[in-house]
Amino acid sequence: MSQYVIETSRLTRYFGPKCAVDQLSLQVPRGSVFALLGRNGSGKTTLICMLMGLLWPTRGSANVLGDDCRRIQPATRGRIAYVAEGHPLIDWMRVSDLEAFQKSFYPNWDGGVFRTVVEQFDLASNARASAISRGQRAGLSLAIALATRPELLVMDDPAMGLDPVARRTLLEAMILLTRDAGHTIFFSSHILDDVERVADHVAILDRSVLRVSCPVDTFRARVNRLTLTFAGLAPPAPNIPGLLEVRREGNELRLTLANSSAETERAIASLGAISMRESVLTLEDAVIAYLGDRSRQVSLLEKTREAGVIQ
Amino acid sequence: MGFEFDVSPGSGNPIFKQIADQVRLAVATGRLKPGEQLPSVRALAERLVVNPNTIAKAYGELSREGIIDGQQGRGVFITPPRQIYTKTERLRRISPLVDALINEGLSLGFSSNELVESLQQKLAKLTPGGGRKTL
Amino acid sequence: MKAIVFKELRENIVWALLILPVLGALMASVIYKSPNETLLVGDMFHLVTAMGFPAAGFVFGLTQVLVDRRRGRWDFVTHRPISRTRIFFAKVIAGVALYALTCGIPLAAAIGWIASPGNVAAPFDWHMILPRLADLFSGLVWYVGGLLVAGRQARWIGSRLMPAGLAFFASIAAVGFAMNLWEAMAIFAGAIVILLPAAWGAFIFGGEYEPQPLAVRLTQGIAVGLGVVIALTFGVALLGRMLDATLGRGGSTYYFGDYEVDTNGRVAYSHFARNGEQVLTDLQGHRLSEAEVLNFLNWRGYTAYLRLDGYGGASSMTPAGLQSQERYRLDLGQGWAGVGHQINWSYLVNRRTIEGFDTRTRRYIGGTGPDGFVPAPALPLAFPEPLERKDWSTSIVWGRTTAYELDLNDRKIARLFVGTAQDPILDAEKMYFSNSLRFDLVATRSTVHVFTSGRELFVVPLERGYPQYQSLYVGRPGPGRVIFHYTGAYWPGPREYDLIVETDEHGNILERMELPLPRTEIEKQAWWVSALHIVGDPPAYGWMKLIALQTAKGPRRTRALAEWIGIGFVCAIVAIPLLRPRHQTRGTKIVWMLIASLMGISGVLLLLSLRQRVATVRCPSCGKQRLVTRQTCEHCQAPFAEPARQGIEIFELV
Repeated sequence: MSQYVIETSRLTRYFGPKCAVDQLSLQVPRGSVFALLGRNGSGKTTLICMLMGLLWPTRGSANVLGDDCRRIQPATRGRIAYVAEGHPLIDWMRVSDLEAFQKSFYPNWDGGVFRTVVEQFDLASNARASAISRGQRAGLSLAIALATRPELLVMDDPAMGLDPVARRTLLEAMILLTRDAGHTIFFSSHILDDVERVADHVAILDRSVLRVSCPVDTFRARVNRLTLTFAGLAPPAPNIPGLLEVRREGNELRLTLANSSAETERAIASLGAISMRESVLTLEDAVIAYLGDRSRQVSLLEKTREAGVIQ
Repeated sequence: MGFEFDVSPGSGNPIFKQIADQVRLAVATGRLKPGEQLPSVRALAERLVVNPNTIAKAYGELSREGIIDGQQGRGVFITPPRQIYTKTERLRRISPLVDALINEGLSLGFSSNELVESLQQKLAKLTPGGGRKTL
Repeated sequence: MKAIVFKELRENIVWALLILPVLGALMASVIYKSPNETLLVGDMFHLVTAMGFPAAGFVFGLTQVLVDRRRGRWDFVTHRPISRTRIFFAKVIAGVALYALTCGIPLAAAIGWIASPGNVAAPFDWHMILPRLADLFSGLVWYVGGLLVAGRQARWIGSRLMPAGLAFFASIAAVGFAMNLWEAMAIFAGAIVILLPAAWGAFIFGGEYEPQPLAVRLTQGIAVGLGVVIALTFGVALLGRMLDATLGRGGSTYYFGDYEVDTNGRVAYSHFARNGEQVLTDLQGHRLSEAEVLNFLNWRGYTAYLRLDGYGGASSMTPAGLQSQERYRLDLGQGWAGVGHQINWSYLVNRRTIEGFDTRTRRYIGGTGPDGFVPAPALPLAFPEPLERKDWSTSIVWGRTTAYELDLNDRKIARLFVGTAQDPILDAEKMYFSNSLRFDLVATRSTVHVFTSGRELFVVPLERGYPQYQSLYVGRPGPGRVIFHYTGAYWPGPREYDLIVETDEHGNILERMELPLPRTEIEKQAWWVSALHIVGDPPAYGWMKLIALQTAKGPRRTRALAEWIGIGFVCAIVAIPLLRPRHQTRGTKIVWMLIASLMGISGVLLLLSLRQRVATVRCPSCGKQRLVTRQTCEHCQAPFAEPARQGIEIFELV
């Protein structure tokens, strides 16, 4: 059995002239809960569609549970559960219809799991998929996915549009899957609190390029934030290696850095700050720093204050 | 297992560290007594809705520090108090914190007496039973 | 797989429930409006089935794919441990079943109604079901076409419908060329052999063209290509029509000469001027007076017309195909039965009997074979050979050897002429003259027999000359004179000479006149018609025509050849900049250039319809634009460089 459930090798996809995924090489370890982060339009859905064999790569390759993504065998598909963006279902079917429909394809269908998850989301068995709430749709999709006891659960933005209660139930369901040893979850999300709870690996897609793929703890360890205080006004954008984000507020300069090295320290020292302290950095702030526009130096609020737009 | 864990993602502290800190504090204040059982990794993970690896990491750290002891098949228990540091080492560890307290307090304008009084009040609140005893 | 079939049935039954009543209502309205015809093979009913069944099939094909086409729905339906091929065939099973029910039920009901005695005043022959079955099967071709139309990704809006061109072509071909049901089925099977793999490929690969296997891409290419050719042909024809209206007639026009005989037996030469006016001159070329012209124009009203080329019968204008009414029934008109009702008389081709139906009771009242009428409920004897009748007259019917006089009102039939199989009857006609004199004429391959009141008057040999005469006009300018005017074709057309023979009423030839005709004037087609043809027709077609015909010689042929080759060459050249960002191998580039040179503009449009533009980026090592689909640069073989690092990357494998 391979160590990785998903392996890609310079996977690329163009839509016309635009590159959506640029030579992405990624490995998802077996048994991990792997979160894929990135801004809207950064290529997450494109990547997931290619992995699931719904979109053909322009170049490069990917393997999912050992099968080339262009030719995933039906037997392999039986071991993968996929919840696409928006939790699609067959709208005219009722919950019981969907259960019967799905059950006919999967011999190892676990009706108990299905019913439990469905009950947790307050779904009656004669509820029509078109008539239930967003959160209930997510729950139903999840129930269908989990009932097949998948070796690999792939979810594209499963928490989209969900209220906090539904989101929490979603997380519980994800933890539920980790009961089965060696079962992997690969999902994309924008809700970093939830990612912090359940994910042990994280990948960040920055405008179609993969820039981070590592355990969550590694990521947190390698990204740090320093606040420098200056005598006068803080100087403008310094050329510091590994700089993710710069914020200037008055005489303070707040730097968020990745992969700090001796060279980084030297560059910082040369700025001539009078004091420097390490700031607390949440996972969310670290990711935002990663994905934000690196040339931008002031926040929206600071900009409007400077311009005198809002007093 | 009556002890309440409280994790908040989105704070600057990683979750595993929050859990480890809470156990350490609880043991230090006597809320968790030696021999008390903590939930298993999986049980705690499911209760807190957190990745089991995170719990495992916290428990691993605590186990390395000798605060807890996990026995295969039997559960996770608080170890009897056991000092692993020498007094010199302990003094060395606490010294910078004391310095920080003094510096901050004086720069805020408190007098020495006020500082000592504040400290005593806090200690009285925390350790009704006297806290951990060292060997 | 069963679950998918049920899902498809459940999802698409709403269309069945919409279409079935519509078809049923249309059929019912046709039946209601004309209960006195053999409806099943009649034009109106044919219209309903020939258009309605394909439309129904097309709709089912479209909806089955479109419903699942939405991004999320597609992901859900295709991600399961069953191959996409099985999903596809589950869909097809459900779709075909629904289509068969939707169209079959109303058709069966209509057939049942028509076949039951007392409902329709016309005979029913089970052979009449066959063309409707063919229409039912044509709908299947449109069904698969619909699957393909909805399933493939269309490069530009117009190209989405192109595969329907093949279904359209199959429908037209089956109606136009199929003589028997099996021939129609063969045409449909051929179309399905092309459309089904293409539809399968479009489904399996989510509509993207490039990942499909070569054989499947070929079928899609043929389907779309045919549609492009048809669309282009229509477009060019439409353009031609519009130009015709604004610039004046563009097509070639022929100006013929013709001979006319007047009621006195005088011969004149007729000529159509450019403005369409008919000019009559005498044989010396002097224009005739108005009064004289009137005699000539009346002549045709007093002649019998016999066609000598074997196409004399009503069903013989073109061979009666599967879909033509004349293959099943010849309408013999109506006889009077009483106040407010008549008898509809029909000759049934398959049973070879003549049967009559009362329009009030709508029941069979009797019929006739060669030996006489028999009343209902007895069925008449069949005729020993297939019968023909004239398009506009039912008084004489004839087979290969025997001609009969038929009086439907008096219900009499009598043998007029009995010949031999070696000298078959070509045509027969009844002629009435002003003094109630009646001539009945029967022409065989070698003779013309003239009868009056059932007895033979005389026989003359049939004139055969070079070129073969196709038509014979027989008239009686006055007592003792019979004129036989042999001429080239039913429509005036280019020919070399006419022949006029005058005999007396005993068949003795009095005079023979061979009248040579001047060369036919041909006004060439306007330049813009030629241009449209060059642009619209595929160059390959032009080459084939030139090679096969060999008629145009010399500079004209060379010029035409150059035009065709030129267009082919130009299209191949035009294809080159379109090819560059679409193809990876030189082999496919050459194939496409060949296709463009043979198909002309259709080929270029086909290329645009199928092949997708691939993005190009600048190669850093050689500076040229390179395709993004290749691992290495096609110019300098340099591989793609990894995206530039910014120093912030964190990669760590556990």
